[in-house]
Amino acid sequence: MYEARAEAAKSQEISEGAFGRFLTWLDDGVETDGVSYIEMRKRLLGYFDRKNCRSPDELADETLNRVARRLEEGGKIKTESPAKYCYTIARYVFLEDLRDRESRNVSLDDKTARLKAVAVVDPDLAGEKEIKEKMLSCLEKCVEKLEPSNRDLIIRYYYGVERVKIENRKSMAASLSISINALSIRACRIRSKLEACVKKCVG
Amino acid sequence: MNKNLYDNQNLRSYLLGSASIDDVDRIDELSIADAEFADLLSIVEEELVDTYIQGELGGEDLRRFEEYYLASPLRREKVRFAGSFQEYALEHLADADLTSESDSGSKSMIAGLFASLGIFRASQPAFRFAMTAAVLLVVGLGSWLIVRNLTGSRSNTETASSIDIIETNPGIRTSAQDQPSPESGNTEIAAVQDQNLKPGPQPPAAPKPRVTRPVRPVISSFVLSPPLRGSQVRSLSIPAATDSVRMRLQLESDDFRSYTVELKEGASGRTIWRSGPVNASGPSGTGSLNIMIPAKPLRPAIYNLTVSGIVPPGKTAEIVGDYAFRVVP
Repeated sequence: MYEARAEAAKSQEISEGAFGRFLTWLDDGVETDGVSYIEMRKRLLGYFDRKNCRSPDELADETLNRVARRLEEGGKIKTESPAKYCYTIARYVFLEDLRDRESRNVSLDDKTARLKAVAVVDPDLAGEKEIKEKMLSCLEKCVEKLEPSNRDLIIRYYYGVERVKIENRKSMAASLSISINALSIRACRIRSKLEACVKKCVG
Repeated sequence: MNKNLYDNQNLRSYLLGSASIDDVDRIDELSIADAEFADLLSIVEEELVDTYIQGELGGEDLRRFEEYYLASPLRREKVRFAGSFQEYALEHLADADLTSESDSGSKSMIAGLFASLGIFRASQPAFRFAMTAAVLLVVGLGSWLIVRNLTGSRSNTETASSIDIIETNPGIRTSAQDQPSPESGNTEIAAVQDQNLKPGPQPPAAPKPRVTRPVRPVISSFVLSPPLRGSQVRSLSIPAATDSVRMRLQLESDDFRSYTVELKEGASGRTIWRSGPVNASGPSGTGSLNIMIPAKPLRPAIYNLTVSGIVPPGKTAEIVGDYAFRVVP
């Protein structure tokens, strides 16, 4: 919940009460203590990033703020599910951003050239070695914070290549009495957690 | 909307920006509106990034990945994290291999000795890795000398290879005969629980239940020193059960931020494996590159590992070393 508030507080555009009601609505009847908000923000961030928007963070916040304001104004929103409504708003926000970019007369060729250039000459590469060392040190700290069972799982899950990797995962899933799919989801969530922790630690 | 229409290949295409417009719209929606689908997409994305890091991405997928996927700073960050994470996992698995309960007695004994001295509790992974390598070098050379003395004459190729070998780690395999039947396992557990509940004379001790351990891959590790002019091609004997070959390539000089490594057949020059960007580890100026190669394509023949420094676009990649080796049966 605290984390969700901290993310939302960045925009300073919705009141505390409105935000609380928005969280309840987003939970869709299941109390998640802010996890739904964090999860939805992550999905929106990924969406805007995959659309190659320049500020996926801002657009994700803008989407959530619009939904919260709409809820505040109307009292309720008629929709199949809160997540689906968030997508509808996200799509509007994306189209607005696209129009905004196009109105700045950036030709597609220029954009493609810029993207290619960014892909190869990454200014972030400066001091790459130092960053990597810091990242490894942060990773060490973040892994230490995991529960021992999760720590073991995340190290072993990514072991091997091709057949070895598949056999290893089958064996892990069997020993935990879960399906390979459930194991993959568990590993993916632990890794996401680690990634967020490392990002925060590296600064 | 039927989310089951999309398999891993569709999602890969979507992530690489090569899916059809209709698919993009549907996947966009599912990636936000459907929690289960969002999880699946994250898993496929992680697999894709890992495949790139391991140098297993090729052809059009590799081109799309470098031109499209890496265009976003957030996604580049994801790739950077994945690279660090794999390095971390590799180092920590080396620790796990060393202390594995079913490893050879000498390994466990030496690991235990060093652990009691606190050496493996050092906070720096690089230091632990170096210590692990040093211990295994001692164990490896010792074992080799013993085997050599016992077996008498050995071929010249093995003599040459022993200089480079740090570790050949026999992984743990769970064979069919080691597996208890589900029924017998349940009976044994029930018997133990029963003992805990009922006081009084203890029945004869039940046989110790066998534990199914995860399948552990077999990794053979080698160190290749910088190639010297006129030096002989080194011979490496890779045990038949090896799944992956870990190579540490010692660099003559560490002049680039990162490198790529290509494995080529010596006879045809055909590239059979390529790494993603690899950073040198170790002291500046004299670093080394750690790579993991699938053992499957390595048959008895001569191979070349070509190391190139990654350069800015428009410039020709600079080859910094060719590490030739011969795989012997």
